[in-house]
Amino acid sequence: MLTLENVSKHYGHRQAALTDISFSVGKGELMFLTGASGAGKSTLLRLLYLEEKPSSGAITLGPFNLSTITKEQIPILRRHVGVIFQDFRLIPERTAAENVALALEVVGKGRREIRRKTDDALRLVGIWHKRNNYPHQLSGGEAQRVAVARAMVNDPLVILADEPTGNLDEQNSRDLLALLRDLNLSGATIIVATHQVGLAREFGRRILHLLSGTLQGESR
Amino acid sequence: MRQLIRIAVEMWRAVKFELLPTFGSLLTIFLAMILPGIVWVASKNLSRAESELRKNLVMNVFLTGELSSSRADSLKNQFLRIGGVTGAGYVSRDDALSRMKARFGGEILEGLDENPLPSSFELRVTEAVLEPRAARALVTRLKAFPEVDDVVFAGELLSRLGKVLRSVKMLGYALALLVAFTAIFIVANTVRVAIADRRKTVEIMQLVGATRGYILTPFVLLGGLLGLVGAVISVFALAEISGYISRSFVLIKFLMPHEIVAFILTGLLLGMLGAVVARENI
Repeated sequence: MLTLENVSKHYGHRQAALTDISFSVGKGELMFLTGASGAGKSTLLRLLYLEEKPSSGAITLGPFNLSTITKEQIPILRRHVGVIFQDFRLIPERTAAENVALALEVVGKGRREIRRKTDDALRLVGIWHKRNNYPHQLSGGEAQRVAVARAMVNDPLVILADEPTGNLDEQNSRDLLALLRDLNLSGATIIVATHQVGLAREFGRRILHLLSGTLQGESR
Repeated sequence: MRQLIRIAVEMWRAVKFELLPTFGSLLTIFLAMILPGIVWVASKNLSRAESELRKNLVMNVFLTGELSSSRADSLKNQFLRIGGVTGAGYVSRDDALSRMKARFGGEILEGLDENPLPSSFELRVTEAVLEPRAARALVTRLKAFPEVDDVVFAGELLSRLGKVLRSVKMLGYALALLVAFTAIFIVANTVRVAIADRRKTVEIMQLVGATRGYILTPFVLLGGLLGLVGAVISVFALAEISGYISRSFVLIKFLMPHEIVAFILTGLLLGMLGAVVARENI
């Protein structure tokens, strides 16, 4: 479903953020991407939601060839990719429900469908009772759950989580990863980038190890 | 309808934390637009005055004394043979008195024993006579007639008015151009600030797959709204100024409804253009 072949990313001539990365992710898989800060995890994810383009190599995600995609097609691709960040990235002047609904609004869904899907997503992540709260009225764990709801509400091809537990305490981190696993069990394809290898190992799923922009191997 | 509500909400969100700068922009647009508005109204009224004068382009030839009917006819024919003269009418002293009474009322001549007004000819002349040299030549020629005492012609005034009108129009064009750039610049800056303020929101929208058009539309309409409201306020202010001048000095004509619509639409377009200029931020 997602394939990277010999993908490299350079900034200028000297700085290589990623070198010759190749791997595949199957449909319905939950995979962890680990490595220390600066290993290239975020850069790799940025290539997948096309915040940046690879310097070389090929990336395919479902029907999209990310190496040849045009600027106009990028929004279309992003509707098929859910992204979760360490800092949640919720719009402060929108309520939890409105933040989730945004992902449906931009694809032009009808009002009723937006309402229904938003409510379903918020119920699924256990935050429906806070649907009318603004981001500043939510705890870190709650805000991240809203971000998860926004990422999955469009049934994306893949959900990318970039250090999703970086701003959460240990209990909230475990709860969030458990939530992502539950989503995966219901069919979602998820890639989680984290520096917490121990936490990743607890889930017994495939773990890719990055070191200074190169793939060092994989484990479970 | 849903889209319109969405856009309206986004527009409100874009300005709600920037009300003072937005109000400042509105004020500047209003001030910027009122200047060419004033020039427009002035030029419109000067044009009207000029065309009225042109329509009634008359040279008054005052005579030394009253003429007999046959002598008046003979002199009329001689005048008509002069190049540049297209019509001639004899105004006797009694006619002149009647006209004055009709225009100013009988009281003005009370206390006078006899009619002080001279007889005259009113000559209609071609526009070529507006040229000062041609006018002077004609006046000289007319004065050569022994019956002619003096010649009065508003042509020079008209010629000067034409020059003033051309200058006012040039000033209007220059101001309009300047205002167009100013309005675009002001709106572009306001929209840039609004976009910068909502940078995080814009990035999140892009992240969830919003197209550039989806993100930009509220900002472009915000720019248009600033231009539109600025222009509407300018129109009200112009109407007030015109009304004051009409009441206090001289009756002037305000803009026609279609001209007002054009003025407001120009504000709208300039505002939208300003927002489009600011779009590279997205």
